[in-house]
Amino acid sequence: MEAKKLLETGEISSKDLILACKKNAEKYKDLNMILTDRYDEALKDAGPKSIPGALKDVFFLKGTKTTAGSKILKDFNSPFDADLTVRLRDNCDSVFVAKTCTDEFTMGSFGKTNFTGPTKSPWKNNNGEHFSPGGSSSGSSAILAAGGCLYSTGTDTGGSIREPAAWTGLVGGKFSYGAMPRYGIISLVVNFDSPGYFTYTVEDLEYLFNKTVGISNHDYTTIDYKPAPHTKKKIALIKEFSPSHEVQIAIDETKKVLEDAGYEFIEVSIPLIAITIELYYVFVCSSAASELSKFDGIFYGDRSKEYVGNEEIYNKCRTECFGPEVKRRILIGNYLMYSANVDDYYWHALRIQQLLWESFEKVFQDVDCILCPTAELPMTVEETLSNPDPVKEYKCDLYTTFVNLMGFCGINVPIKLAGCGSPVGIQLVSKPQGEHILFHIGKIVDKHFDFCRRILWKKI
Amino acid sequence: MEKNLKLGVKIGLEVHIQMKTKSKLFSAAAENGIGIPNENTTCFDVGYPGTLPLLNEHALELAARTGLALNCTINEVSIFDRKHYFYPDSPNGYQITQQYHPICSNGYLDIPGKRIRINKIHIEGDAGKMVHAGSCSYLDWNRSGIALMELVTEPDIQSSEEAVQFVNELILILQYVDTCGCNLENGEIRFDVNISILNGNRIEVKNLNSIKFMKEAIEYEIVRQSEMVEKGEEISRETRLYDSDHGVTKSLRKKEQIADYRYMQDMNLPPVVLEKSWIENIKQHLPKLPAKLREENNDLNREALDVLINNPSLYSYFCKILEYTDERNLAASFLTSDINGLVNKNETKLKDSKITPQNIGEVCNLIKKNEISNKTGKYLIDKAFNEIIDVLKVVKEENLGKITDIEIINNMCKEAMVNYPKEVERFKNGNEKLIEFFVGQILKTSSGRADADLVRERLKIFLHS
Repeated sequence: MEAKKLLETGEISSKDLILACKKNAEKYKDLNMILTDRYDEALKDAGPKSIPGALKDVFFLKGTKTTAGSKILKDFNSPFDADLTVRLRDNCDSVFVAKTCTDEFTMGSFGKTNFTGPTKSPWKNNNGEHFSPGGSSSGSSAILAAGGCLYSTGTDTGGSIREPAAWTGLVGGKFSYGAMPRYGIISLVVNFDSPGYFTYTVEDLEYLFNKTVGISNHDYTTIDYKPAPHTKKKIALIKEFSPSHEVQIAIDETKKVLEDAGYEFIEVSIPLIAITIELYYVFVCSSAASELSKFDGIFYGDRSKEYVGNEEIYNKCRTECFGPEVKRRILIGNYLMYSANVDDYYWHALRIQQLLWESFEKVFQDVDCILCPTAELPMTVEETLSNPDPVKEYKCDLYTTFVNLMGFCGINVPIKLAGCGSPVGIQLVSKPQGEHILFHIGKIVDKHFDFCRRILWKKI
Repeated sequence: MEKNLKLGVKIGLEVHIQMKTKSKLFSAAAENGIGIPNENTTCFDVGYPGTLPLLNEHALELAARTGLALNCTINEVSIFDRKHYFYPDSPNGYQITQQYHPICSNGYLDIPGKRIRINKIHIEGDAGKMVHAGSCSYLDWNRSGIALMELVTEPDIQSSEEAVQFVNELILILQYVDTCGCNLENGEIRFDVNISILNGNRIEVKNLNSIKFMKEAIEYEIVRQSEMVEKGEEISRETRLYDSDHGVTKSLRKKEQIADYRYMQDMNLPPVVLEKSWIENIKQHLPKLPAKLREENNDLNREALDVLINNPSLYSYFCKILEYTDERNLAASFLTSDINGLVNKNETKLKDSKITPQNIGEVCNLIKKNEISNKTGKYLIDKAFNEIIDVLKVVKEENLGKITDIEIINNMCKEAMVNYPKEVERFKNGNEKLIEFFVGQILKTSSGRADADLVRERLKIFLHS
């Protein structure tokens, strides 16, 4: 928002802005955050007041490739502009400086499955090792934390915006399911995928949201957003969440700030929250197996040069071009969907999802907002690469997946630095169409801790 | 048929019917399965990521109309599911269909002497087309995503004849409700047949694209399965294809390989919810169907009736003629034999000819009033086919009216008897059939205008005197 003011008055030009961003991106080149570099094109595209933004490489932007972080789409040209690409360009006067790295097909929490190699966060621990920027929107979080743009886009299916935001000290917004159109965004779980943004402040997030929210004629699952009224000055804490020490401190400090602002806190118990990870992965794996069936190399995508017969085209292409995590989830997903298993897993998960909804419905009768951790402290990139235990990795999503399962909105607000040198954030969650409640409460927290100005910008 | 009953033959049909929509089921591409390959496709139809399906609501109306014409219940809520399988003709890796909650259920279609129950009709997107040439296969996705209805019968059919009757009546009904173009040569209707005997496992024969092949495949399968049973061989679940060149079915996949489609609701598409009033409206506007029309027109000659009913546009032409005359049988006869003959002879369609329903009506009326003979009637029809005429005017100008004046008839008879004395002799000697010879001569000289019955009457009197 500050940049907008400066652009308005003409104190800086958009070209200066873009060049400054480009310089930062150059400085942090070895973080491997960018798949398609567009700074020069952006300089040409920019109007006098344009804001530079970066797109996660699952958003279609005509004239660029969209790879979804996968070898199978490494040469895939965006066939049209995504609805959000159009809205950002037209309603927010934005130009796009980069397509950013992402975990392959948005599956991952550390940014390590991107086909050109893992992405690193600009933040380092006390030994000088780079932290992981989180995932799957790893490139988008890294590039904004590095000062390579003024905002970036991501998609959040199980925490893929909020968790990287927490790990890189940014505001990350996952909006209510259906608030933002998915047309032109490569999908993973059709009924969880929520496009959203990374910004430096909650104020910026609110601005982008208001300018781009709304129904799309291309997408049946979009809703006519009508803000839910903020009537209850109560916030819930979830009893079953017990994060590590430094994360808990951040929560406690946030709680104090909000109590000073007149909010009352209550503790609620949601026993089913313990299996939200399992539930989530049943849906993700089933959906991944379904959504990724279209990648066969027949019409587009990498096709092996040598093959004999139909089966080999499919086998070779998919074996050679999908990474191990993607393959793992497809295999699990297909297993879960077999007619012998589907009732025990998929249909059963649907029933539990319904029960979970009923628990939360009760909670939101008393409160408008939930305060909880976003994620545990980040691991270093080295640690993520040397710890191949998928189940352990999946459990990192504990604090974020319930929001996707329920279609809620949630934002990460950065609070402070932990002792090890990494940023720590907290999460605010509200019911569907509760974004304005989150912006209201989020701004109170953000203004107080002012992480962006006090810490992040100083670092860049 | 008796043999089939002994064998306990059970046949169920799955009929794939392309709906007459302007664009495809889930995309705006034109619905045109033929034409330049891959011309009628959008990003969604070729399986690009980041695309979303948008339902063609007209397809709902066509499916509901078809279901109502087949006595189905139209389900107020129906849901789209994904049916997953890998094959080049399926660019998304799945077909969008309605597995658990179809739009229509529990209908029936009557064939002579029997009711065939319909389990359901659901909507789905068609697959693309593969053309094999040598070692290469070519893919055409024009057909991919075209709106289809799949109609599934209960195994009530017991012979190939019954199957043919069912399919013929079904196609007729589809023409009446105008929900399908019904061009089998273009693949607009395709059949899968399920056959079992003696309560054994059923064999599926897929992708039959003509009624002839369907009949042949059924007959072949019944024989093949009964021979297997005689030899003591077990019949296990199997999918087969029909090889029309050799008249045999061949195995495609056995039970163990039968695909598990991993059905999953397509979450990009909300459930379809139809309002009762919308369904009622379609029901009110259904046209009269063949069965009802046969009932209402059972006074007509059976053959002529079949021709009329089997051709909806001919039937409505018939109705137009009835605005000018009450002579139903006569009108039906002219339309189905004489005019049909002219259409074929001149290779001109009825609508391109010059004849009008009024022409035909007036001819019928004149015949009824005995003002012209049948032969004259045919002459007028022929003339009207090729040029615009006013029937009554032509009759007057060309002096075509029937001669009924007794004086004139008497004179004609006497003249004929004078001209053919030998025949008179033979008649008087007992060859009474010769009277027709005289009738014929008189008709000839009067250009068919003499009233044949009157002539005969008068001749009898003269010849016997």
